[in-house]
Amino acid sequence: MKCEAVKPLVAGYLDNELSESQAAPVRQHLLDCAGCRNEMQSQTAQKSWFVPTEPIAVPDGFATRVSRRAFAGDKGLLVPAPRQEVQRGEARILQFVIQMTAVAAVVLLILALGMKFNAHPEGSELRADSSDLREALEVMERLNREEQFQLPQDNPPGASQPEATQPVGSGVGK
Amino acid sequence: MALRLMKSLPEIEDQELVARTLDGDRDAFGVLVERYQDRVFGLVRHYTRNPVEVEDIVQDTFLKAFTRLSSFQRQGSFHNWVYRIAVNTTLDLFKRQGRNPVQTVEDPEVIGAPPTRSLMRPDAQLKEREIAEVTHKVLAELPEIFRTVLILREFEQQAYQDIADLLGISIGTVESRLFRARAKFKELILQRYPEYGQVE
Repeated sequence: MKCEAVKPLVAGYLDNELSESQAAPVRQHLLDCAGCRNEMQSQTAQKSWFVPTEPIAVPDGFATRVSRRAFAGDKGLLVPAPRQEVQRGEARILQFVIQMTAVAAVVLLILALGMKFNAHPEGSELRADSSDLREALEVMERLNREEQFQLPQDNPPGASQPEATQPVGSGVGK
Repeated sequence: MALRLMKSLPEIEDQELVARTLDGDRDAFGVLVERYQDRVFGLVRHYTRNPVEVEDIVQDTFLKAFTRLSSFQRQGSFHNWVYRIAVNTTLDLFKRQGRNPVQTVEDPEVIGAPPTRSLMRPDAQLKEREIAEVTHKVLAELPEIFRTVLILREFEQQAYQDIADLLGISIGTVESRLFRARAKFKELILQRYPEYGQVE
């Protein structure tokens, strides 16, 4: 056997996992090849880190206690009843979050559609529609001009300015 | 009374004890527990060093075994069946607690580059307990799939076929996982204790 064929079998050889027909040529090769022998020694050294641990002391009456609990219907501390309760609670919260998210998504969609159809600027030119504002400014400017024109007649210099409390358009008709 | 009856049952085969348990014989189940409790405690202890947690897991293992006893295949080994429940109970608990989440074998960070140095034997001055402490610290850092095959093979001396049956995987997968697990174990020991490395 060649080294390339032996090296992958060394672990199985050490673990007694090879059949005799597989193990015999590996054994012979290991006797002849220092390189593969080193590989085997390296793997053996690694195995020596797994030392048998001291047997753990089982609490007195453990078997009797477990048997009694089993026949009493106890399914254990770690599973599954408390876990299912927790899962059911979590599922309810998750379901609520999903439902709220869905409602929020629908509301957002409706708002977006409303904005699209009600407040969308007309025409291809992207500008603010300021016609109403312009008209209002023109009216106000005209009123101011008329007012300024009338001021010297109604309010001589040095008099107080009662008109300031009057509506802007109150003097227009005078 | 239970203890007296249990002492008259030890020679009975596992399959017979399972049948008696299913017929409502509490003592028969007690004998089964007593028969395997040492080994299951020993197995679980490789996963956690907390004795209270070990006891809880072992207790749950046998309680689960009891509830599933009717699904036990009589021709199979009760020992392997209980071992499988113990491993799954432990891993389920760790998963729920977010401890050592399972990583896939294909994870490149898990596999890494093979170490170029070989691992020496532990120092002869180290006591077995100290070696075990180092080994378990390193094992605790391994991904679960690697830790379990190493524990089953190196501590429990399980055959590849038994490990495959126990974990529900093929022998080829057992060999592959063992190969990677050993490489990773060596890498971690050499990282922590470079003095144990030697050039191959």
